[in-house]
Amino acid sequence: MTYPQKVWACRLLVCAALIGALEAGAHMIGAASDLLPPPSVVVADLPALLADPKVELAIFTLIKQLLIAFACSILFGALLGYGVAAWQRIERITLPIVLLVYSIPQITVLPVFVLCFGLGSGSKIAFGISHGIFPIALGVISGIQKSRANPIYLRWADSLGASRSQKLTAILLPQAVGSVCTGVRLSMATTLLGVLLADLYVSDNGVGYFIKFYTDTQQGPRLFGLVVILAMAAVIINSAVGRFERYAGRWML
Amino acid sequence: MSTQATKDQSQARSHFDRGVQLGFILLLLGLWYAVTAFGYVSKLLLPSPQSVVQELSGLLTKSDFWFDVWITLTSIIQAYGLAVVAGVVLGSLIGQSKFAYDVFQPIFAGAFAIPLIIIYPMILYLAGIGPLSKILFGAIYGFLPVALAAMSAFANVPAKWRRYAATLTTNQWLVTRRVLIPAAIPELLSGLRISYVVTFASVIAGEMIAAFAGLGRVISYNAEVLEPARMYAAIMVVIAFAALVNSLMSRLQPRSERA
Amino acid sequence: MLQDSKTRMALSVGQLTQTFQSRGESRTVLSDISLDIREGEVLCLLGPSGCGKSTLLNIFGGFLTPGTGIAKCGDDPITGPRPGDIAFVFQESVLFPWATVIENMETALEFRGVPKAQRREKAMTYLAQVGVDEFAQHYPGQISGGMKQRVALAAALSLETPILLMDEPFAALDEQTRMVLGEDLSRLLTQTKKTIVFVTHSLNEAVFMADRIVVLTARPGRIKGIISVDEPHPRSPDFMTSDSFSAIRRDVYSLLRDEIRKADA
Repeated sequence: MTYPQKVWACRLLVCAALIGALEAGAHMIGAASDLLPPPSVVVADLPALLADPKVELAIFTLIKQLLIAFACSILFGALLGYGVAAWQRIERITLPIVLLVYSIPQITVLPVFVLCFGLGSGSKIAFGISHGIFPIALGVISGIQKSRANPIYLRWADSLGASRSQKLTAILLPQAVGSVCTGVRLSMATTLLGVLLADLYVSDNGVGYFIKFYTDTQQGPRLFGLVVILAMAAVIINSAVGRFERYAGRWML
Repeated sequence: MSTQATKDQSQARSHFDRGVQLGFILLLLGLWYAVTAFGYVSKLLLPSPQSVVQELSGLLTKSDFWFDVWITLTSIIQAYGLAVVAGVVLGSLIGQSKFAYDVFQPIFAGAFAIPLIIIYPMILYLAGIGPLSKILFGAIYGFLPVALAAMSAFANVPAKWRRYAATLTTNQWLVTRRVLIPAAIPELLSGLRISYVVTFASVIAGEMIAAFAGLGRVISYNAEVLEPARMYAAIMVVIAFAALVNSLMSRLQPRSERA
Repeated sequence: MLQDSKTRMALSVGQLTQTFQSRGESRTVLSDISLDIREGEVLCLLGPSGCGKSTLLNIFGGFLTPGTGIAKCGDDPITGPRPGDIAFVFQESVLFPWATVIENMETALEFRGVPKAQRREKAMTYLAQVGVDEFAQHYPGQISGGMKQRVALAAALSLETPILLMDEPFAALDEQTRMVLGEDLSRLLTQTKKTIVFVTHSLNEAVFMADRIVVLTARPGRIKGIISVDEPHPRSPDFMTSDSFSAIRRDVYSLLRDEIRKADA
């Protein structure tokens, strides 16, 4: 067995052991725990959960909100990052302000979002954007800083008489792509977190509502079904973007 | 060009930058005052700065509010303490072996990518609407970045230092104490900072979603009863508190990196 | 000076062959090397890139176990690093960035079990010997590459081991710095009477410092020839401009030339 195979085998073993422990633990607590069902029961209940049209709608709504928020995060985040870092003079003034705003625990201003954007999709999307925009902006900024730290490539391009757009596509972007991808990956996770936070806080008829509802009515299998779906989606998206990130940054090693 | 001249120049430049930043913030405050004074936005959405300041002084003199501060503070300290101890212990154990690091790192990184807020209602149900639920939630969320930083810090100690240490001694405990731990500290510290931010936000989030007391509850309660001025005042207290601890923590840097 | 046939061996390898596996391919780096290094001699390993000279040094240092054959320190087989017998100077700086120069020195001494009360004085003595005592309170990040290697050398000397191994200790430095360091080293090493094995790419460095120069072939590394330099230590800068220096340098280069072309091919 090669080393990567060994690592994967062990990783699967650890995950299997965790699931096995949950299964055994749930059986040990027994019927007393409607809220803590064994994983096998959760999986068996998944089709029933997904067949519920209200849940289906909630999931689709969540996906829609997430995609809109994510797209806006990328757009605004890239603009913000580029605007801050494109000129060093401006960066020195604006970057501390961006970092200051970023250091505010955003959860505190969630009610302000609800006041501004109402109880529906608006506040969830907006809160997702406010969470997703900073990782993108900071990724772009650090990417531009990295290109700038290696002025030799730019000088080489200048010596060949490259145009501004040639320099941008041939030299700045390739050097920035690793940091930008890291930003995209982090932004995906934080956008989802932002949307779900607002969803749980507002709790109208979205996924957040169902999570609360299933908890309050002790429908453990349903609750965990939803949690598992969301968690799996987060992990899969994260590792997919991470894979692309390693691919895009492979030249750095 | 003397170096003194360039030094003066860069100092003047940084004074100028500070001035522009200050001006920007004053401009925002002025804008805030203007739009509320001339009634461009509803008072419910954005109360005037004077009313927020008034509410702030009102809050700070009430003992109820200090009780909420106390609840939040103790919850954060307990959650953070749990997160740090568990994270450092488990992370540094995993980081001792490259193989263990390769096996476990993606599992922890994957878990940290999950918006764990989705398990909060369940924790709430199991632990009740008391401090315990938010302490547990904050601890679980804050544990992951500490563990990740600790395992990576130890697993990535440069091989050259291990080899150098091996030419000097066979005493592994000495090597751990004098080489591995100092080498791991910068990355560990940045993990501790991230963990603090995450724990803080998690505890506040827990309080906002469901709690009887705490700063998060003060914010969400005043939003519900439409007392925006008081809500903004409470938000300011929380932000000031977070910023204070943040700046204290960013001072925690190893000597050699300060120079 | 090395005529005494009863001189004890400090380090030796016999019929050593070293093969590495990488991605299913096996590469023989060293082939059938037998070499005895006498106590108190300064021996230089010279050869084209990739000829395995660093590998041989790492085997002496105990970082690698011999594939076939045997490596010995005195009469003991080498099975791992031997802190009591062998000090090692690495190619790159291994000074801990979080500790000052003097703290780095003291840490090394602490590792060797030197009592706390003696560490400071001993560290300062050796720092003074290599001429960096005035930088004792600086962090490694604040001093030049040449200074860092001087400190690394002081740390290795302070361990007071009979044997010193150096893996291209001056490779990262500019030529003028390495010439000055080489002179200082030659003077220091005469005083200490250590057995020294060092790896270098520099012909001048090899001839100037070594009692014997072992020239290795391109991969797989074999011993192509051994050239003695019968010039007493300490060697003055004048030696470098002497005819005997040029003659030895020419001999070494003629052994090396074909191998460099082979390695490059």
